[in-house]
Amino acid sequence: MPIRQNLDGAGPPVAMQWPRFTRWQRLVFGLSCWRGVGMLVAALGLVGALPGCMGPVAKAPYARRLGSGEAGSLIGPFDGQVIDQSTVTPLSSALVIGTWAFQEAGGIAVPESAYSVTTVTGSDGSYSLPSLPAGRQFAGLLRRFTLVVYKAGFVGYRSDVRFDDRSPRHDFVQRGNVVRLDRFPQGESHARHLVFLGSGAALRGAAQAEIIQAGLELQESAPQLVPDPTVTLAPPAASESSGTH
Amino acid sequence: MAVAAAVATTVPAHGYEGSTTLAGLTEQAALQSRLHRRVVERFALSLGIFEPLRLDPATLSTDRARNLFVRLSALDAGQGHAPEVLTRKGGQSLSPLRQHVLGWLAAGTVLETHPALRVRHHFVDAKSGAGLRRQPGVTAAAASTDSVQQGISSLRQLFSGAAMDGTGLAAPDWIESADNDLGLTVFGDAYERAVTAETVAARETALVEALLSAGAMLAVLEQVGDPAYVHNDLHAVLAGRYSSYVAEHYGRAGVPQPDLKLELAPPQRFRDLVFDGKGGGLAERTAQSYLSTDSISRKVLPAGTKLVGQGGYLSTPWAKHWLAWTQQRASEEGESSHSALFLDDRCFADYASALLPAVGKFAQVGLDFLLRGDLRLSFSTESGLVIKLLDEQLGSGNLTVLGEKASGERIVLKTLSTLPSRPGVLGTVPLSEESVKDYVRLVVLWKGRDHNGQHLVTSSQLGLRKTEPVAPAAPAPEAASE
Repeated sequence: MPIRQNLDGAGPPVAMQWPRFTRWQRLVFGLSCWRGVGMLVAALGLVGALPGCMGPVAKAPYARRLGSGEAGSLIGPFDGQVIDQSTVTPLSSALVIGTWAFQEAGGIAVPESAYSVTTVTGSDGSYSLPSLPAGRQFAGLLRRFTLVVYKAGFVGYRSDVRFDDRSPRHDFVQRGNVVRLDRFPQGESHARHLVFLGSGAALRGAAQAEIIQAGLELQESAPQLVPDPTVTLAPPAASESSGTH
Repeated sequence: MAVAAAVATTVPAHGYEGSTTLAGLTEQAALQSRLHRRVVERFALSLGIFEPLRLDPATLSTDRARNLFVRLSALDAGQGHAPEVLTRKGGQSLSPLRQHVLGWLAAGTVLETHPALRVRHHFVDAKSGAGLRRQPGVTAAAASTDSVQQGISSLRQLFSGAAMDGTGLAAPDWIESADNDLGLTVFGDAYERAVTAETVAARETALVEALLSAGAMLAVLEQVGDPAYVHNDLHAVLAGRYSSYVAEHYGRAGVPQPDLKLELAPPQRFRDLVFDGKGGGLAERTAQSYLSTDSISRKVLPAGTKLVGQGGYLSTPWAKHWLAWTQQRASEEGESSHSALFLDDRCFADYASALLPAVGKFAQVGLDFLLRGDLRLSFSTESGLVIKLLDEQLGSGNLTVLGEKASGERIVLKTLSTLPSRPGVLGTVPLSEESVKDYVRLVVLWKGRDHNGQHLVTSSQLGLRKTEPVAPAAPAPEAASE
């Protein structure tokens, strides 16, 4: 029954009142209300699934900002600046790769999936990586985030381990991170440098020249095969059994 | 409402973590091994361990391709062993994958931990050589249920009877098992196809398979460098305190190089590196010197050891913090106080710094062993193709000589049987210039048993164009190369 108001002006307006419903009407109305509540809940759930609400996340092994004491987040976002350690000037066009790694939740450490984003530093050496996209946040247990920075002619950077002594890196921070790259020292092994960095597709593309150098280096330095034995001219041990030429 | 706030979770690793510790051990072992030179000399891949290889799913069976693709797609690109997914061609259901030689090897190491159920076969009791077994009083049903709770098995596996029941093959048996899709048998078959397959795509994919298998076998070997795996200590594996410490402090890139001072006798079999029953396997060495958290009892203390004071550490020549202990007060009247034995982070630090280089050395020897038996080829019009054996005594076997056309297609030219041989000339194959004129490369595959009776597949190749004389004085032998 529609709600009506007497507007004919013939008498005082009738106070608006809730209509009387039949049992069936009340039932239908109630169901539609609950459906609305359900949709509201679902919508809230969907919104809640956006940044900040997601599956299990491991503890980030780095701070949010340098000296802040606030724990960082594996989800991101991440930003910072890449500078040349020797000249203390910004390094532009350095390759920056961020990778989120997931593993299967609740069990043995089994890789589940990974997601990478790549960018290059601007003219001021700055980089910025967005947060892990919402659609990727339910892939499994978010186990780690790794930042790799590469610039030809420099020692690359990993957010987890230092190159010089292979010790754990403690100065990586989520926001305002400063990446200081040293010039690649003469005599340093390109092969070991590449293995240190890892070999994602983007990195392989950027490090083509260094890959060739590493190959040449290993031709010189890799453990030798046993040299040719002294060849005795004894009758060869082979006896031809068949030929399919 | 399923709004779960993001909760920072402390995550234990379970056994040496595949993506970090195991992959790092394999990479460092490979750098110290002869892998680079062998890849260059046997497969003519000039960049060696940095040469990119494609895994083309079209050359594999559908099940095998899908299985590998799913597992490889899960790898952590941040650690460098995840392959690059290439553009799929029309008609292909799966995309080709690309990674370099070293990356494939490390990827194989990680795949050995995927799915988690494989871990059941990574145990070996250092005393008996047995695999994982249930603790007394634990039933198979209880162990299976536990394995689901721990995430080792799925509910589906539980209901189908395939869940882990608390037992497993011994690690050396797993390496040789026909059920292991990344084991020794698959390695040998894949290596053979990497040489003899007709097309370049099939050979590259087969070489990738061989590398994945080699990496996986190295993972099984490396795992027995974790004390929990040699003390039948599944609980410690699942708690993962030691392995978490190692993963956190070393990552992948910080794993130390193999211990070059450690001298290991060449094994007769790959499995002997894991466990040889004489104390020379990695499992035995690990068990002899190191403890796992749940295997500690009073029995581990040397006879006559007295623990004086409120707590401290016991030291050994190889670990300053070998075992921690603390005096615990009696909880009830009438109970005497007793000392609790345990391992803490200082113990883990000492264990890792001593164990990882040794594990790396075993892995390096293992990798060199898998690819043993170097051949060298030379070709001349007078003597034909001469095949020299450089480093290994061989038993009887078969030689296959193939010619490779400029298009990459390989064709079998000769097959020969060989008798047991020592390093020196393995065989001479009479080939005329005329018979090889259509080929740019000669390739030899030897397949048989080594002098210990172990299966062995090895190969070598020779680029024919390199043999052309380039000095102006020499006549250009066009007929030989055209």
